[in-house]
Amino acid sequence: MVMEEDNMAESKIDIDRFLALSKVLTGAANLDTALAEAYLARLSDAFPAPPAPPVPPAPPAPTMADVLTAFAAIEKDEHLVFEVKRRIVEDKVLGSLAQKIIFIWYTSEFVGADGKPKTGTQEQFYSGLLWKVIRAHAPTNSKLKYGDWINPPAAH
Amino acid sequence: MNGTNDTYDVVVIGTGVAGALIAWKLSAKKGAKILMLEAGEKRLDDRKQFVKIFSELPQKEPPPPLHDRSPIRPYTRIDEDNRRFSHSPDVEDFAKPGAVPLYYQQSGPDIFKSQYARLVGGSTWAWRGNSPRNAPNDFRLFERYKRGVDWPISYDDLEPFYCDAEDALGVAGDHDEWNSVTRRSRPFPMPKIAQAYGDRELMEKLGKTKFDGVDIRLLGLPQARNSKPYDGRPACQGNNNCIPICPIQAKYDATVHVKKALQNNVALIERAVVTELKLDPNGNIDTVVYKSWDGEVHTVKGRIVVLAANTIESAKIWQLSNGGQGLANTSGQVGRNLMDHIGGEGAALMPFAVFPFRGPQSTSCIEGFRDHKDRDKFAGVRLTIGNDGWGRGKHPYDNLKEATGGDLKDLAAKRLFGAELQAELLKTISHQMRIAYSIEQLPDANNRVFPSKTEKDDLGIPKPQIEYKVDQYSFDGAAYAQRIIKHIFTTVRAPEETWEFSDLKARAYSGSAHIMGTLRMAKDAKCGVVDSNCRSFEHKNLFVADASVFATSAPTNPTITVAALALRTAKAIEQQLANG
Repeated sequence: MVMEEDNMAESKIDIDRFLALSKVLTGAANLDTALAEAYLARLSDAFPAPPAPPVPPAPPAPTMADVLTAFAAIEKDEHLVFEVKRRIVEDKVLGSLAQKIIFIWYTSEFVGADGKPKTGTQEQFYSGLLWKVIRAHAPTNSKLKYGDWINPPAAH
Repeated sequence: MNGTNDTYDVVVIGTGVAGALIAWKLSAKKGAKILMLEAGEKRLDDRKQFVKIFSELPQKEPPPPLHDRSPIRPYTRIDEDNRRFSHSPDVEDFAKPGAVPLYYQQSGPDIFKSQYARLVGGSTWAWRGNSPRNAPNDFRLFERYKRGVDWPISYDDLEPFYCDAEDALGVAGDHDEWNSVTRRSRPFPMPKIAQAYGDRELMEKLGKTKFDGVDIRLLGLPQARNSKPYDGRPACQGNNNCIPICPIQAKYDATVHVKKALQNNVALIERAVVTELKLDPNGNIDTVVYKSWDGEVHTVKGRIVVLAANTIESAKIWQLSNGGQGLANTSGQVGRNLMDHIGGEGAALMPFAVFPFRGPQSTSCIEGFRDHKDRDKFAGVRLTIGNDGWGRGKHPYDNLKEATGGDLKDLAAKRLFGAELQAELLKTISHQMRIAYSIEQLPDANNRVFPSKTEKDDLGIPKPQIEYKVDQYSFDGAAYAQRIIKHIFTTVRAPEETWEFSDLKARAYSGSAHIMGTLRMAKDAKCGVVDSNCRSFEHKNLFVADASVFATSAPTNPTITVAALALRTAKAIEQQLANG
């Protein structure tokens, strides 16, 4: 019971940490917590800890846990954006996962370790930040009224 | 073999726009017993499911063999049965060298790149709704330019039926804008679709510019899309997803008239793939043979049979009929003159924001070059302004990948994130504009489709074998189109560093899914397969009602012409039924 509670607490920390990192990476101040939980689960499934040391030893594959650990070390830094750039985005190993975190938030899909696209749910597709950033909407998810498109869009 | 005792007044093969309109029109008068046969599935109430599938598929082209950008993808992904039997050339990536042939068997020398949907409602599920009419000279290309052939009907013969087709489909357009391009006897049933913000900006920046002595004018593109509620369907909400699927059916598709026909007591059999038409001793069609998806063979009889199965399928059925000997071919033109519109585009970053991806995928077009002064030398050209960024050339996901460092192999590449990433994406994508061209293709007897002698589909029916070449007349038309687009980009000062054009030196072209020819209409049986009423010259109870009857391609989207011809053919069938 105590272990389960510990795990839950740890998982909550991970989601909060993932959310904080995601805000830095995406530039979006408000991100949905439920989506964060879903996206962290999807990325963690796709990039888990390796089961056994590969033979011959391959370069270490980054895991989501690695990214969050790296973020934990800098999350209180006064210059968080710079530290995220230096320690995660431009890190030779972790950089690829930073890109995938951006992709999942912006599009709901990312390319998995197997090279295949991993798509999300319809709701996640409609939540893609990319469409908001370019002041449009995900295809098939318009909230416009007829003819609204004759005027430039308002900034979100 | 399962024979039915039912004899119908009319058996319509295919439920795309042509078959649906004919079944609807003929059933409006009580009494006629009509059957529609459809090779695909009846999914009339599955729009939401298709939209869900679309939104959960990869939006970008993944590596082979998972090519998922086909417009047909939401429909063939609905279940395994549909993937197996739908037999639209679905996941094949025609453009990639070494691609594995799936349904089409291509003998070259060029690749035929267009596809269609096998589904109740046909390919109109996945069309853009663009509905410009053919112009008068499109029906007399040989008389006027000594190119191709003439149709056995004139623009004036078809004009009243264009009006009826526009009313039936619900075409939004501006009467005054179009009356000078294609003379009109009636207004459109709806005002034109509001032109997109970016198109308006482009118009303003272009001012009164000319190319080759012709004014460049951005007209409102007539579209079978509601600019106000019409025929029980809502006005467009700008979902920007006409292809592959409109989520609210503001855009017309043929399920509209399939439903109307069903309400008029027309019978419909889905999953019924027609394999053969059998003749009686008088040379009339006696029996229609089809296979259901379980492989069982069935037969039905019709006093009149209408072939409306799509240009590829109708020609294939024609040649598989009569015990494999094929139906009549006095002209030698059966299966020949396969045509498409040669597509391509120019793209650039505009020096002003256009804010794409809001509104329909296109709302404006340029018509001044479709019947240009040199059409005897090179093809007529139509241009359409995209409202979807750089379209298939560069998806916004590509921009996102580029901005975040691409494949991360280039250590010098910028890896943007946070606010800087947002600013870059907005700056780039909001300025993306593309202008697409559509080029006519001449009828060429060597461009043809016939049943493969070796390859069969899952039901044991021969697959279509295609021989196809794009000629210089079309490529020179494409080169002319590119010069027009470059003139536009130069006029509005779009930086040349940002231009992207289909590479004509590499013979680059795309298909337009405008599949035409193969059973062409002509003035007599020596020149073509069907007469001016789209009735077979030799088989007097057989009509053809899809784009296979087109004598030439014009540079225009064919659906509204298919619809007008279908309504005209329905009238001829009515008369023949009345005459007994």
